[in-house]
Amino acid sequence: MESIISEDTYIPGEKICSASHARSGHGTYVRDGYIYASLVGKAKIERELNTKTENKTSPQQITSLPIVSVKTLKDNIVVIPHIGSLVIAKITSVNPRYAKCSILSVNNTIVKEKFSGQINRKDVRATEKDKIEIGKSFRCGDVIIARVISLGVVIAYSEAGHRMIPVSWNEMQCPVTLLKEFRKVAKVQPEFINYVEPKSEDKQ
Amino acid sequence: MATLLDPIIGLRIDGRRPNELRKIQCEVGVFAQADGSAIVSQGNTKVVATVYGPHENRGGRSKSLHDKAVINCQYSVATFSGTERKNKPHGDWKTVEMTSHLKQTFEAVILTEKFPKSQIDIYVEVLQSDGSNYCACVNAATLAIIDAGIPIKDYVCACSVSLIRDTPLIDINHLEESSGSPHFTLALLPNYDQIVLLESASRMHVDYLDKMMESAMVGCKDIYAVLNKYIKSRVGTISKNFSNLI
Repeated sequence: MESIISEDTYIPGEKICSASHARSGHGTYVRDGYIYASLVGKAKIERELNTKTENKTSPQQITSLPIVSVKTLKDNIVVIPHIGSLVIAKITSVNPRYAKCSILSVNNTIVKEKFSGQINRKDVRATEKDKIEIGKSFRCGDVIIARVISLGVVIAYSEAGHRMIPVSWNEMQCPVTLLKEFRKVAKVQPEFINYVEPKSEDKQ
Repeated sequence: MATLLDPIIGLRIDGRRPNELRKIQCEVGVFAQADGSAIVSQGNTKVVATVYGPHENRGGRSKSLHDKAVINCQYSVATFSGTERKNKPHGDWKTVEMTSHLKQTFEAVILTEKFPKSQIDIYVEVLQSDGSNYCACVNAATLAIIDAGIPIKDYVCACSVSLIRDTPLIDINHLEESSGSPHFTLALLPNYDQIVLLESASRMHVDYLDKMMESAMVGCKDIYAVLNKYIKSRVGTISKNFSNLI
């Protein structure tokens, strides 16, 4: 299967291969069933090494597809903190409600320009949230390790009792009555996809 | 008007054929400080573009978008670039309009959803102005974005077109631009044949529109071939897909 995709130099907008042969990785995007390059560089085909038990629920075909990505010549991979990414940060200011920090690295890659972050008092630890004191947790200049978090609704039922479909980040729609309701919709992270799916099957 | 396109030999005032581009020279990575930069000259029009980012939003969180990057553009014309000295390099209505056109063009092509809550800055400056300034700016900004390693759907190439003696002239110079004949600018995604911008400030008959668009699109693809050749030569290899494009 690898022979279909050539490890050539690609330029943005150039077709690499059909989306049925590979999955789109860094520096590529999918359009009309084909994978295109979005950066200038050499294409790399990688097979996922960690075929853990977590992939059990997804079809075998999808997991066996190689990932095609385009690597630029310059070694400046642009990283920005995403939800769920592990970051190393330095505390810049502390007050009773929250601490501010500047993010130094994201998922073991050093960022070129610092991003700022905020740690709310209740997010410092998982238990005894009322007793947390920011002043006893962090001081200015401390280097911390943290995970970027986001909360939100994954499954919601409408007034009519049907399972709603998210239509935007703050709205969900009932498929039967077409009524829209406000919700803070979650951005589902890859590691939770398998976590949510079996639950939904139980309910249906 | 009579001299802009010679009726007998069919050449333009600068000796070009109607469908001929001016010489395009490009250089990428001219500034070390910026994340991406490029200088493009099309004939006597010379433009420098710099790209910074993606970085955290400047100017407060209110401007940031939670699901995609904000694109911030600035188009400016150097005071010494034209025949008359300008007072302000940017801030007048013409540059403000160009800025918003640039922003629209690049919002269509940059994969902004990969960088939520961040900002990408594109600064272009016209150093020498001899017509088709906007086209040169778009072409230079495309190269600068590629240099910065920001993912884009496709190249954006822009070309201007004018109509003299029922003949469309592409990549018009300052004399042709100021002759009063109808002209417009077209920005194209060459691999998709998608038009991302079509801008005109002059009146023309609708019958001519198809003909002019046709030649502008051919011009954009010619520019694409030149930019592509340059980028590929920088990368060092010419892939097989490129050879059948020329």
